[in-house]
Amino acid sequence: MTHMSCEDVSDRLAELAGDRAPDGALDAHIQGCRACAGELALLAALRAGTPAAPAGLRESILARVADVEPSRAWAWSAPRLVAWRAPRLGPWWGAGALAAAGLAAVVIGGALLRGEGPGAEAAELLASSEVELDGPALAEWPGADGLLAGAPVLAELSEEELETLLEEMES
Amino acid sequence: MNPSAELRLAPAPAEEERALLRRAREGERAALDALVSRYTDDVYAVALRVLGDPEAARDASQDAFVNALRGLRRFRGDASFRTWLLRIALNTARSHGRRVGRRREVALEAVNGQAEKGSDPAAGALARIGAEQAERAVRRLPEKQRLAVTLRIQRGLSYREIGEVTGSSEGAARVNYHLGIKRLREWLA
Repeated sequence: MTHMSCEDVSDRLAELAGDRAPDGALDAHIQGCRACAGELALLAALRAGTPAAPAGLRESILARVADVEPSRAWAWSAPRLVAWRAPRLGPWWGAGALAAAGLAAVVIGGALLRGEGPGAEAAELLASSEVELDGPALAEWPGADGLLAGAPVLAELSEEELETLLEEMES
Repeated sequence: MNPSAELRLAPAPAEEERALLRRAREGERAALDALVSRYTDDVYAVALRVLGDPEAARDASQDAFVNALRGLRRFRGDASFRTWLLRIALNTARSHGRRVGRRREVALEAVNGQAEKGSDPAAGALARIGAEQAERAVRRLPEKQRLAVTLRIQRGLSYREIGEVTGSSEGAARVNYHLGIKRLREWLA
């Protein structure tokens, strides 16, 4: 059975609506984790409290749009999709930084190949020893949700840390 | 309050919706009716979360659909119609809010059971939370977290879709959701 973190559980619970099919790993975690059991109860309360649109709203909307003709030349533009963006560099800074990084990579790489420089000793050590990676396997790292591999586990961050992370992501 | 809310978590089949949009653009009333029926609850939920007042949210919902219809021919289909429409609803509601001044607060009672500092959120306390109590607590959240929690839990959108509606990244939507849930758990424990 795959071990689930609190954050995995939180995301999984958010996907599920009301009744859910038995899920061994999920249920095992919830049974043993008071925090996640509490979150399950909270989500159930939120769903039960979903505000309903007032009676007659659909009809009043239909009445309003009945006389509206879709316009060809209306100024409203479709919303621009904002994907997660890497920090932007100014055109010259960006090009200069990339060029410098490329040159540095060539120089360092060349030195390592010749067995020279400070990295050469480290490279030898790595090649000769068995290095065990401690932590989740690569496949378990967050992928396509805009968070980079190695990013912090959200459930373990305080409110202040989450707000700081948000500011960084939105700047 | 809708104790037996039927959440439409699965998106409408894409091909079916494309056909519906095509017919709505051509002015077919039945297609327009179908789109309004399908998304009224979603649009109202967004408007209510922005404005906090059911009457204002009702007005904004009507305007949002009018705005969307007027711009329907400009809808390119690169986002889903649902997120496109909800983005319009969000902008329309915010415009309403600016026109009438500060967001009109529905009179909020103190959230019952608010934990004292230092107490440990207990599953038992959260398990006793009623639907109304949870709903009042959501209204207290800052707008971004309010929207993320509402759209995720009450309307069933993915983080990516929430980002499309709010104009943020998928990652930021996820962070806002977790921040909102964290705050709710602290308040309600």
